[in-house]
Amino acid sequence: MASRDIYTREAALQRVMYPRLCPDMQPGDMFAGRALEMEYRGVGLTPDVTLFGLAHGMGYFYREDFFQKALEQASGVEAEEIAGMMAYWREQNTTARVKSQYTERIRKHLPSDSFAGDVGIGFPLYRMTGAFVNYELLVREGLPGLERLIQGRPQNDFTRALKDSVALIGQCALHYAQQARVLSKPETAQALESIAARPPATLREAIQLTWLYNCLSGIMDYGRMDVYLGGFLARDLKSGLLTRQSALEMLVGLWRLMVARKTVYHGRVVIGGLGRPNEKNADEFALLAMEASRIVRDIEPQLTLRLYKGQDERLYRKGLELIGTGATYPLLYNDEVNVPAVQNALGVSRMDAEQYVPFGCGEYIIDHKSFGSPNGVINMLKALEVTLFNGRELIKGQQMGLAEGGLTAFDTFEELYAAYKRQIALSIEVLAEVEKLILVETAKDTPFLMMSLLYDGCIEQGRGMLEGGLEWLGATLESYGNINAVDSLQAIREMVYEKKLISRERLLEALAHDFEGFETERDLLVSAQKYGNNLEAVDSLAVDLHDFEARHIRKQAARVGLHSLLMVVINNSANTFLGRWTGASADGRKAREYMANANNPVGGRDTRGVTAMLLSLAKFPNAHHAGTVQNLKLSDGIFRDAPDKVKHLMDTYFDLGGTQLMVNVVRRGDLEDAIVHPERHQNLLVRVGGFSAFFVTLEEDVQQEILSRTLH
Amino acid sequence: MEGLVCDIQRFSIQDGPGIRTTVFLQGCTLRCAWCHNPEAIPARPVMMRVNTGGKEAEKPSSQPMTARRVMDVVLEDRPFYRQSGGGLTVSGGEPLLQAEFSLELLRLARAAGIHTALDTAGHVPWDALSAALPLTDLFLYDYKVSRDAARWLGAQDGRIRDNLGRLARAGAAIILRCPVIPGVNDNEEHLRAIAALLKDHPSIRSVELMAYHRLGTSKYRALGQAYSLEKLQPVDGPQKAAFLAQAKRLIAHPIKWG
Repeated sequence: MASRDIYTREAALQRVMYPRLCPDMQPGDMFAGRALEMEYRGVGLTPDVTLFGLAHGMGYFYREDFFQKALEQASGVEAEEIAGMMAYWREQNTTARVKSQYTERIRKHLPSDSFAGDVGIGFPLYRMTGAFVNYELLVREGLPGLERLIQGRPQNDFTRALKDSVALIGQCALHYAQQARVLSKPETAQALESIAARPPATLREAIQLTWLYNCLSGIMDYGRMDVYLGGFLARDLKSGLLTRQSALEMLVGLWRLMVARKTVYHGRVVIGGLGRPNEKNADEFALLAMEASRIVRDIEPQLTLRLYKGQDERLYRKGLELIGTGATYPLLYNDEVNVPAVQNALGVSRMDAEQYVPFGCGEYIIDHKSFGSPNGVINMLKALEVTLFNGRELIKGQQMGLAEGGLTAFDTFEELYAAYKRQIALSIEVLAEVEKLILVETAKDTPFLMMSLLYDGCIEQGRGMLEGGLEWLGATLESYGNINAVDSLQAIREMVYEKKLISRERLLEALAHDFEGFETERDLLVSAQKYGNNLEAVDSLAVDLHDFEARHIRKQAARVGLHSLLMVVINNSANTFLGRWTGASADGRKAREYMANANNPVGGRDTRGVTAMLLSLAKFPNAHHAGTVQNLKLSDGIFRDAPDKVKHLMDTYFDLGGTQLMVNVVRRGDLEDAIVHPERHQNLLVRVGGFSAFFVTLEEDVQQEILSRTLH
Repeated sequence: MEGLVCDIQRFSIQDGPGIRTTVFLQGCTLRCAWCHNPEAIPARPVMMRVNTGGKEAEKPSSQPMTARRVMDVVLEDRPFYRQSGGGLTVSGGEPLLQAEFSLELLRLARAAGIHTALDTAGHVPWDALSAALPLTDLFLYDYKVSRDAARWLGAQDGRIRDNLGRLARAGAAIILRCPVIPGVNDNEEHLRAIAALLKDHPSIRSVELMAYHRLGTSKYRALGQAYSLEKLQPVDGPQKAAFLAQAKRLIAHPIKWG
């Protein structure tokens, strides 16, 4: 199959899928287009199949469970056909094809790829996600303009397939136009007919086109929306086509479709920040977007407000007002720190760095110029466990990673720390290799036509985004358990090596027994310095480890041949999932318990107040990673009594070098009460890490983790 | 120099302008019936029963600390003070019962260039207040009752009034802090007395009416003491609003209701 034409194949597949699989427009929908995620059938194509909250594959996907069900109901020739398809797709789905290329080394060091269901230090994540494409181009050129652009380039299989994709979007628009007529929605029908033929002329048409495109492409983040829609809003308001109120209703309608899409970890709408042409229009849009989020008050979109000094103050004020209502949005990003950091980390110009956007849970990429997926996952606490126990892990007793003798072999803390760093380094190196391999092998299977259509460079180069069309192809590595690892290392340094209150053998015994019968040792370990209190020794350790990890990951890009490979310290529920497969740790954490969220202190261990916690958070250097997220849990009383002081608190943190802040405003006691009486708190929104959720819908240990975070 | 420190509260937002660190000192000269920090009343530390992580333990109400060590903590938050116009608030108990220690804290804060506030009930020798005067940017001065002082405060209030007058005449910046205790001082007579004080003393900038709360109740239990206002409930919404409306009618100054 070396010379197969993946372009024509994908175009043909798209023709089979769309509009056949387009979910019907619902009577309450403001715009046409519902996403396909809930409709994944047995096989198909999409960049990121997320099922049950976990990355499930990319490209051509295959769902065994779906086929199994069909097989049970079939008989005779049909059953044979189904069995034949199963045999084919089991091996030929993109993820399987990628995995079949794993090297011996990868198989040895990444024995499992189920981070939520197995032990391991590193795990690959199969997905091609977090694309931020050129919506400005889409709304400026419209479908006919895109077709002209493609036509203007030398033709090949790729460009022909691209043209077919454009035509298909137009056909889907007309397919939905018919439905809209039936539902007596003449305005929607008209907009759909219009965008099939012309560039969008109104806000309604521009939203309709971008939304439809998102549904068909499988893209789940929505870009710098204030930039690409701000002009349409201004024009429609000026011409009197829309009032502020009717425009707001439109956004609310769009937001509700995003809610229905349930991407959970995505749904980023970025507003504010440097590098926005026509800033005034964008600002007005941003204000309206925040108002829409106040009304909708749900887990999506993940409204992301970028801030810089000199920006219209109303944006920040409005954002804080929204946060004060307990909406968890907007997430605040500090351009003053992030722009120079991105410039360095991704090695791009200042102008390009101003176009940074956090996708999904918070990985920075450059808007429609770079790509930051696939991802790998590394569990820093597991790496420490394996180092302490000479290559053995505690949950299943499995052998993995480097075995350099374990804790008893290290006579000084420095020796232990150096061995731990070697352990991490190995996992990082293998993960870098696997991420590169995923990109290379996926590119052989699919050009991702829909995404390539709007990614810079693809039309010009006549090549798909993964095969040279997109110049900056990078990847990210998600790091978890960092702070538990730091607290554990500090506790070992203090109690084992410095004060010698616990022997090395005794510590290993205590950990292996999950502290049962070792309460004295556990109390001692808990009493050691903990990160998040602005204390010198442990905070420097945190900074050193963070910087080592970030730099080592970054270094791999050149070795494996990526534009960038960067660390992110973000979160989904992975801190909890990975925690379930991690043994007791020297910070006093019991086996299988959740780990702290992202860079945040372990819940309840930041005892010196919110200012001390923020001082600790602001210490991390930022020039070598692609994003860290920070949670701040504030009681609603503080927000009510002293909103200005809350703003001062955040401003100081940002001035000190803070990159980002996600603020959860909760009423004291509400979370506890919600566990006992979930029915009374259906509306209680919480920030988990890289996403928001209704508290009552979360799994019990995820709830406990959030509850454990210190409320200031 | 060492003092007895009950608590150092960071991100303190109720004790003066901006983001502050409030240092609570042991010992008080009054015995207010509604006191919510009863552990801070005696001159020496008292033992409190506390429950930490399911374990019962005894803990002293304060620790001896040097002024330097206290200031090490206070100065950690300097960036927050700079941003917000905040600083150090020395409180208690009655901080001027440990006058030398309080003055030392104020002096060190001054030297570090941060805003200083002193939260006092004023029932102290004038000398202590007068020594604090040049070191204090803002006095948070308690004014609690207009009658029956002996009954409610455990002391006559002549000195409190005198000291307030002298402080005001010396030009000190003052915020008057008035706890509103249902059935004790939530009446027109008391509001009129406050209004009269403000009229007499232009250097009083504003008034803070502080609603009665029951957060101190558990501390009485931890101390094994009876709380004389055990049955007293905080006032609710409409009653509160009515009182505030009345206060605004009678008092021309800015009123903060916390």
